[in-house]
Amino acid sequence: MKLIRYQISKLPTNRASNWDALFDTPFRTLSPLLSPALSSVREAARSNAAAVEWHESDEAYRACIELPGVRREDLRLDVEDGLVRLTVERKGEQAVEAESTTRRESFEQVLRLPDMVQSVRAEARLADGILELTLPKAERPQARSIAVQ
Amino acid sequence: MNETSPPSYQNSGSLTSSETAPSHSVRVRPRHRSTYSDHAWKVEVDLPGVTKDHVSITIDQEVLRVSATRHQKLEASWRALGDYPAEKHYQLRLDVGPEVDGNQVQAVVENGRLTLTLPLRDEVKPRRIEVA
Repeated sequence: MKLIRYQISKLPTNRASNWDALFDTPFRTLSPLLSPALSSVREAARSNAAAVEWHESDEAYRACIELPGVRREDLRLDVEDGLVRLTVERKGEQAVEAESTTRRESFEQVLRLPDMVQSVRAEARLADGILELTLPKAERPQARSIAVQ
Repeated sequence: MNETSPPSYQNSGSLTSSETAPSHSVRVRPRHRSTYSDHAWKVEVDLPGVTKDHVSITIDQEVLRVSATRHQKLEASWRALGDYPAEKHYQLRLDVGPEVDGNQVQAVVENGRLTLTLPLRDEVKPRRIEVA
């Protein structure tokens, strides 16, 4: 039986900027935060969703997604309707003579894209188990004056 | 062998936090999974963003320790959209027991995942006994 967790992850809120004006839904971070009062060590995420960190520059947004052990040939990225669908299907596992459960991990995750991005110009780079997805921002339409007839 | 125990609260370390977030560092116990056969114990440790030069593995008195640091400083023109740590210190401690041959441990880091192969000592491997 293949278990696929379907998760939508979104950008975290950034109260410091006028970030919220760009999005119409509330966000939550994915990082599992243990209260510092309880523990001095963070346990890595127990949920199946990959940890995502969002960054921003003047020209683009970037999502850094933790996908340890994932190779390029195992990964598919599809953009549709303002969403990025990430599919990992680990192929070609070597025969394991151990008493383990199936090693065939399938994994799917969906990220909602920020509104003002040019998804056709998205770039993805995978290195050392981190997927960097760079999304150039859409150019703001120029202010125009409209001649009155 | 099952997935290992619940989070450990290690008092030797502490959550270091600088005054100016987001440049704090955190200690993380990485996800890992173990399988074993008659000949060896295999441990996979998830260390995303870590290359082999930044991993330290020791085995001492039947304790296996893996530690790795991942630096996540942002380039100049980028800003973080969340309170992310600038450094993640992955640390994992596993009791391996006397059946493991500490001299034959192999470690490979690939795609942000460390695979450790811990062969069992010959004496503990199953053996066929010939009838004379």
